Formats: sequence, structure tokens, C-alpha cells
Amino acid sequence: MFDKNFILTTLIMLSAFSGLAQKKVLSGIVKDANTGETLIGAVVSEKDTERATSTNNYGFYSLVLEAGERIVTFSYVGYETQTKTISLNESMKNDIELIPNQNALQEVVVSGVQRNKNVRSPQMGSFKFSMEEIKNVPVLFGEKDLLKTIQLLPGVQSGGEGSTNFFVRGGGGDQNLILLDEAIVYNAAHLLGFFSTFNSDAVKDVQLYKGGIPSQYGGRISSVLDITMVDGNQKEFSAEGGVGLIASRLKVSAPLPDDRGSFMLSGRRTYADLFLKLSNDQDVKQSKLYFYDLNAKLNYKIDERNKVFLSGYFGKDELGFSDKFGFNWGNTTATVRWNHIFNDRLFSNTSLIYSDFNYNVGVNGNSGDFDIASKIGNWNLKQDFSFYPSNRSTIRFGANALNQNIRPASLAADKDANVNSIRIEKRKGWDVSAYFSHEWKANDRLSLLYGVRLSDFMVMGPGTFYRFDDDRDVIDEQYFGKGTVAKHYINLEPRLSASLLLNSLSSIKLSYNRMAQNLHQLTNSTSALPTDQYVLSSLNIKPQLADQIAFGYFRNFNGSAYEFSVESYYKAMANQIDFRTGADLQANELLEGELLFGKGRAYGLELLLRKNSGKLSGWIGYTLSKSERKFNGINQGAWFNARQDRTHDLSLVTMYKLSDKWSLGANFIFNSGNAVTYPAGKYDLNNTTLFYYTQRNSHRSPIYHRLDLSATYEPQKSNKRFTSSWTFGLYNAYNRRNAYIVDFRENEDNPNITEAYQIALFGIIPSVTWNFKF
Amino acid sequence: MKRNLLTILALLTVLFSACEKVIDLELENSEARIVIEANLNDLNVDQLIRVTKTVAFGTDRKSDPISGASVVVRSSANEEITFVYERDGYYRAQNFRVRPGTKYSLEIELEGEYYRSSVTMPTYVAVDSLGISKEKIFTEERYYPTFKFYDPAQVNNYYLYEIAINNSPIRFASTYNDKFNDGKYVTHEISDRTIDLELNDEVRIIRYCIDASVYKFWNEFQSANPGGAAPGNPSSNISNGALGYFSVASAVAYFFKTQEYMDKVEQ
Repeated sequence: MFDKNFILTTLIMLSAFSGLAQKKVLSGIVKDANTGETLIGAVVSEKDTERATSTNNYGFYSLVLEAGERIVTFSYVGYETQTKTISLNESMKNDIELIPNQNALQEVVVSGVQRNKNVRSPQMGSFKFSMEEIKNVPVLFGEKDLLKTIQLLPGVQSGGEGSTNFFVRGGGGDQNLILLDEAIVYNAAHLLGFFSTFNSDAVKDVQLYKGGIPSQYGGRISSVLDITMVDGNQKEFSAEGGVGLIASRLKVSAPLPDDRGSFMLSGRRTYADLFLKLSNDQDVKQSKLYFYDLNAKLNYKIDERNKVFLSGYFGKDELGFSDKFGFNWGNTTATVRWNHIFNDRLFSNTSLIYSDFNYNVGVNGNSGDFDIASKIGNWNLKQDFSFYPSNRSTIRFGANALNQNIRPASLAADKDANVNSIRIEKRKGWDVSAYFSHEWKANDRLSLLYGVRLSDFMVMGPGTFYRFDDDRDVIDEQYFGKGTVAKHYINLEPRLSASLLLNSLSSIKLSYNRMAQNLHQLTNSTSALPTDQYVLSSLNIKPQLADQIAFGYFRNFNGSAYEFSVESYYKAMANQIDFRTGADLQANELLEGELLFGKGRAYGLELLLRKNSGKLSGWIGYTLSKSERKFNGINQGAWFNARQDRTHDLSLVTMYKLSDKWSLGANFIFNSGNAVTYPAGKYDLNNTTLFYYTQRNSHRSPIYHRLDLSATYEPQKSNKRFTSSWTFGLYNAYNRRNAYIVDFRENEDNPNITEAYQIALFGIIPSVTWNFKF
Repeated sequence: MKRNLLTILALLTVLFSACEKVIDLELENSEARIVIEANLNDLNVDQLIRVTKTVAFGTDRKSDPISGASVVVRSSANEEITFVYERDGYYRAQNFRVRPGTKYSLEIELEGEYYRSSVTMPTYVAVDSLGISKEKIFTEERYYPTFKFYDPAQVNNYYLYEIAINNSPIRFASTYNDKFNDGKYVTHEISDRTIDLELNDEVRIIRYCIDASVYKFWNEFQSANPGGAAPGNPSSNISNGALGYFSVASAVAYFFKTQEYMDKVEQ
């Protein structure tokens, strides 16, 4: 699949390149001193020259320095900074363990390079946090949820009250690439979207890219959410868990013998359905309503240069009514990775990844027994290299081959059932891509991160492909056999980010990226449903494309305790997908004939003020934005507001450490309404009132605002091993009845009168969670 | 299946203590558009076509009747019937019997604009048995008038039901196609869109076999839900931007006294 000679040649060239430098290399892994967990994005910097680098996803760093006595500092948010004097006479390996900041009450003043990474790095449009940092953010039902947390960032919108679906910079919900240990997560929602599939216990680190997306990522046009699972305690056996209103969680982790690594196993299950069992009613008793998650990870060090990781996720939702109806869905992911350190400058990772999402509906009704099943999945082989040729450069390059397959919803009926079985053809595609990126500190002021991604999406047989005319009637059909390529879609995706330092505390940044997407979700509602159809690019469906350009100003204040940024972006989207009114999306062989293709544009301004450390931490984010679409066949072909178009969006997230025992958290959210379509009139047919609509999404839903509060009580440790804490929460503390849905109907007493009404989903919701750790 | 999904949604709504209130919205006044209700069928000897215009959302009327239109229906059997204005937007043709298999064309002229449509009247698909079925949704029992019949194989069939409970005006209930059960023994359970049936109710149901374009119109109407994507106007089978539909259907009316069926209620 990859050209071996090409890789060899490159490696030889790179080695030769590195041989030219008369400098020494300091490399190693940065870890947590208590658990041995590797730290992602820890900053390693040298005092004299202010040369700095940060650890990669595996905690690995490599820094090229002049030989001699070097003073090197290692720092990471929430940890005590370590400064070491290193005699660098030879290139050497230096693993470092950082100690978590026990006493967060004291403002830790760290000056210098490491604190200004946000200003110096060319990367923009990104936000990174560890689960530890957001543990006191108040959440719905007391369930920590990283997807709900990122919705509090500027440029990221919630898909609706309590929903885990999210929109980034005016893009669609299916345009976000969600990765869990590199595996694509197709449906990140439990219980119709109220909870995310990510059990916070099992997550270490979260990185979101809204723009300036580096070239190692591809496949979705709006954003990348890169989630890393915890490796597990390398030092000793540990267990932690919690009991909440909705779910209970348990995580165990332990080191492997001989310091070879560790493993982690984490599970979560809801128990609302246990109350159903208390019912006297047989139907209720047999009903189901729950979900669970399992995360597991194992890392094993073969030797100093080789390490393997196995990680996996399995989750399932079950809904069922009596024995008449059952509905379940879930994701599975599995990742096998091999880290290989060729030398102190060249780091390699090889991954084999599988992931899928499926749902099943079983019906046992008056039409007999039948099942509806659908599955989407992929196999992905991926090779990544990080090369550190000098202290000014980091080069990343790699390739991957992803086999994407879709089994659309098919109906399987019993022989004697009164429905017919329907089988819709499977679809397959190969997404083969290669990338290169270079992060380069051109001089003391200018840093660049540029690269390119080349992808070839191959629409594969076997299958019958149709073409349609403007009236959406089939004009021809063509059969492609197994293994034949029906169509190649080749896309070259340039990526560029640059920062120019104005002074040591401020910079301006610029970024451009092009993204391509070949997997499309057809969603008919505002909240994505598990039954939404996926389609691949085909003869009719062209890859979705987005070009985004962004400018930003970054500034740190108060000894870098405060980070401020303002970013503005413009995004143009091509080959966007919608469907005509009344489209038949269910088990329809000619589904593609129901689709409409158009374009989109989105632009906005985002302000963010963030404070990471000290007694008070959190952020304020504000977004001013616009997102529009244009389709022939919708709104008379004129531009209209996208569903997620929202003008103002404000979130305030604060966490306050009151004392050694008490921590407080508060969120305040204020949004102007989303774009919606309200009737412009009414008429009646067959004694039924119908509403008359004119312009698409030309109205605004009511203003939304909400305050959430939380308080965490952590008693002083009575014995060293066991600690526990209580978290109390109030979601929607002042009980605001925000509109979830606005709809229209005839007045009950006088059908001549029509009225608008709103449904609010959540009033004030208290929660309590007990967490433990030993 | 749809009903089961609704049950679960209802359960979730209760779980999350949803609440509802009437709100005031400022909605613009758009220009009025012509609406045509042409439900021709073989239940009646006289046929009625209604022409109205849309009214603003806040108006205390359902629509505005239009009197000055010229309404003509022609058939493939060379008939040409002119409808005469009566009142309240209704135009009547006396003694106009429609026949299955015949193609009918509608032409309405109003203020110099022409609105046209044509459909072929389908043959009636006979009902094999009638009954009331009882379904238990958690602790609540619900009753549904139920039609069972053999769907003709290898042809597309479209069904539409209208319902009147006790003395309420008869109105649209639901529409079906045979996409998933072509040629099978089919069961349709009918319910009013807003009112639950009580045990002592009297129910009148008209069952129509309709043209595909009429199904499309009503199916788009019944598929709209408040959580859905941007709502639109159901696709009319009448030209020139008119709202509404033109249908020539085979129909039979059924009367149910729910009680009388109780001894043979299906569980």
C-alpha cells in the first residue's frame, strides 16, 4: 500500500539531514509522578535560548540543544514545574515525572516560554484540556461530559438543550471528526443525545481544532475532536468510581509486572430502568431503558524503543417496550498501536484501527415479527512519523488507508409476517491519504505550521449506481463489480498556520485550511438520531469541501495567568447536502435522488479569556457569527440561514477553590435564538388547519439563558489510601423555562384561532454524586 | 413502529419533566395564496371543490373563501363538468359520478391565472374485516378502529383515512402506502390526530384509495414534526403555485359504535 522505497529513501534522507547538525538531542517521556500517566502537550524548554517543544500524544519529546550544561524546565498545567541542569555531552534520554500541584490555593507563578505557548505556537482555533481541569464544571444530572464542556467554548454550539450534538463554526453535526484513541466515533450520543459516549473516568486529554487543522487529520470538514484515553496507573493498583443519580462508574488500573506498562478498565451503567422493575405491570416490567460503556486500555513496553498500546471502547443503549418493541444501538472501537523510537529524533507510530456503529430495531406487533438493522464501520491502517531535525523544526508525515463500509437499514421479516423484507445494497469506499507537515520556527518572531494532505477516495463496487436528472428521475444505472472502482475523488488539502510575535506576550496569527469529507449523515431533525442514514460519496454525491481562513490576536496578561484571544474566520463550504421536502429516506434504493446539493458560508468573531491556574480558573467566551446555505430547490434558490445560525453566544465558566475541602463551580450561558421557520399564514383542508411557510429559517427561536452551579466537598483524608468526595449540582439554577421546541396548533376551544406554544425540556435539576478513589 | 417510538418519546418527556406554555410571537403577514381542496369521490353523487386563500396566522378565521373562480373538470371519457359557486368557497357539480380507471383533469381560473392538475381514479381495495383493537401503553388502554385487507400485489396502493368522532366534523386522520407490505394482508389502525377514542364513542371513518400525488401531499403533511428540520409546504399536485390538492378517489364510509365491537376486541 505504501511505497516502501519512498519511505526508506525519506528515512535515509532524514537521518542524513540530522547527521549534519553538530548538536545533541535531549529526548524522553514526561509523566505524572503519582500514576505514571504520560502527559500530552507538556512544555519542555531550555532557559538560555528559549528553545521549546511540547510532548506528543504519547508524552514523547525531543529537543535539539547545544552540547554542555543546559538548564531545562518541564511544565504542565496543574503540575509543579521542574527545572533540571543537564550535562548534555552526548545525546541522551531523559524521562521526567512531574508532581501534581497539591496546593492549588497558591498562585503558581511560572514565567517564561512555557507559559506563553498559546501566544508563540502557530496553532490557532484550538482548545486543549485534561479531564482533571474541568472536573468542577457543573453538568446536567451530575454526569461529567466532555462534549457538553466543549459546547461552552466560543465557536462551538450545542445541538439543543441537553444535547451532546455540537456544531463548530457554522458547520454541521456530522462534519466533526471525533476520535477516541485515533478510532472514529460515529455516534457520540447515548439516550437520544442527552449523554455522550465518553465516560470521563476513562478520558485523559481532549484537543479540539476549530480551524488551522493540522494535516495529520482529515475526513471531516468542520472540526477535529481528538480524545485520548488514560493509560492506567503505572505505579500501583488503583480504583476509582462514583455513584450518581443517573449512572454509576468504576475504574480499575494497575501496573504490569517489571515496569512493563499498565492497564485500565473502566465501566459505566445507568439505572433508571431499575425502577421499571418495581412496577406491577408486566409490560412495564419487561421494558428496557439503559445504556452502558466499557473502556479498556493496555500499554506494554517491549524495550526502551518499542511500546505497544491496545485500547478499546464498547457501548450500548437499550430501549424497549414490553416484548413488543426493542431498539438498541452502540459503538465499538479498537485500536492497536506500536510506538517505535528509531532514534532520538525520529518517532514512529503504527496503528491498526477498527470502529463501527450499529443499530437494531425489533418489532413484534400486529404485522408479525420483523427487524431493521444497519451498520457502519471502518478498518484503518495508519502510519505516522514525527521527526525533530533541529530545535526549530518538527516534521510530521504519514499515510493511511481506511476502508469505509455502510450497510444501510434493511428490513428482515419473518416468512409469515405481513411486511416484506427489503435489502438495500451495501456501500464501500477506500479512503487512502498521505500527509506532510512542518512546524518551523523561522526566526524569533515568526513560526509556521504548514503542510498538505492528499486523499483519494475510491467509490467501490459491488453495487448498482444511479444517475438522476433535474426532476430526480433515474436516467441511467450502472453496475460495478466487486473490487472495481466506480469513481476516484482526489483532493489536495493545503493547511497553513502562522504566528508573528509582537512581543513576548502577544502575537498575531493567520491560518488557512482546506478539508474534504466523503461520509455524509442525512439527518432530518435538529438532534442527530441513531437511525440517521449515512451515505458515501458516489457518482451523484461529491465530497464536501470547506475552505477556512482565520485571523487572530493572542495576548497574555498578569504574568501569563490570563490568556486572551480574539479570532475571526470565514468558511466557504461546497457540495453541501440537504434533501427536498418530503424526501423518502427510509429503505429507499433511489435515496440519492432525494438529495439536493448546494453551498454554505459561515463567518464569525470569537473572544476567549481563559485562566488556567490559581484559586479561580475558567473562561469567558463570546461568539458573534453567521452561517448560511444556498440550494437550488430550497427557499427559491436564495441564501438562507442554516439551522445552527445563531448571532450571539456567551458562556462563562468558573471554578473556584474555596478551601482545602470545598470547590465551587458556576456556568452562565446566554444565546440569542437559532434560525427557525415559522408560518407566514394558514389555510384549511378537510377541516384541518395547515400552516403556510414562505422563507426558510427566517425567524429566531426565543433567547436562551441558564445558570448552573456545583459544589464539591472533599473531606480531609482520614487514611492515606482512600479518598472520597461529594459533588452537588444545580442545572438551570433559576429554573428558566427555555424553549426546546416552538410549535403551532389550533386552539382547543376555538379551532378558528391558531396559537404558538413552546415546550421546555428541563427546569431546575438538582444532582448529587459521590466519588471515591483508592 | 411509529407508535412505539412515540411511546418511548412520551416516556422520555415525562422523565425529563417537560412543560408547555402558549407564547406570543410576531409573525409577518405574507401575501395571500390560493388554496384548492378538490376531494372528488364515488361516495357522493354531487361533487364539491373549495377555493380559498391563506390568511395571516393571527386571523380569527381558518381561511378566506373565494367566489369568483371558474372551476372545470374534464375526464378521459370526454366529460366536461363546470362547478357552480354555492357559498363559503364551495363550488358544486350536481350528479357527477366519478369512475375508477378514468383520468380527470382540473382547471381553475382565478384573476387571469390558471391552476391545473390531473389524476387517475384508483379502484377501491375491499376491506376483509373491521374491528376495534386495544393497545395497552403502560397503564393506559387505547382503542383503534382497525381495517384488515389484502393489498393487491405488484401495484402501488395508497390509502387515506378521515375520521369523525361523535359529532365532530370529519377530518384528515392518516395516509399509508404499501412500500413495506405490498401484496400482504395489511392492518391499518386509525386514530384521530388529537383526540383519543373513548369506549362509548361513535366513530365515522371514510377510507379512500387515492392517487400517488395525493398520498405525497398528505404524507408530507403528516410527517412534519416540531423536532424536525425546517418545515415546508406539502407538495401540491396542482400547478402554478397553488396550495392544496386535487384528488379523485374510490371511497367507502364506515360507522363504528365502539361498544358493539367490544366483545371481539383484539388484544
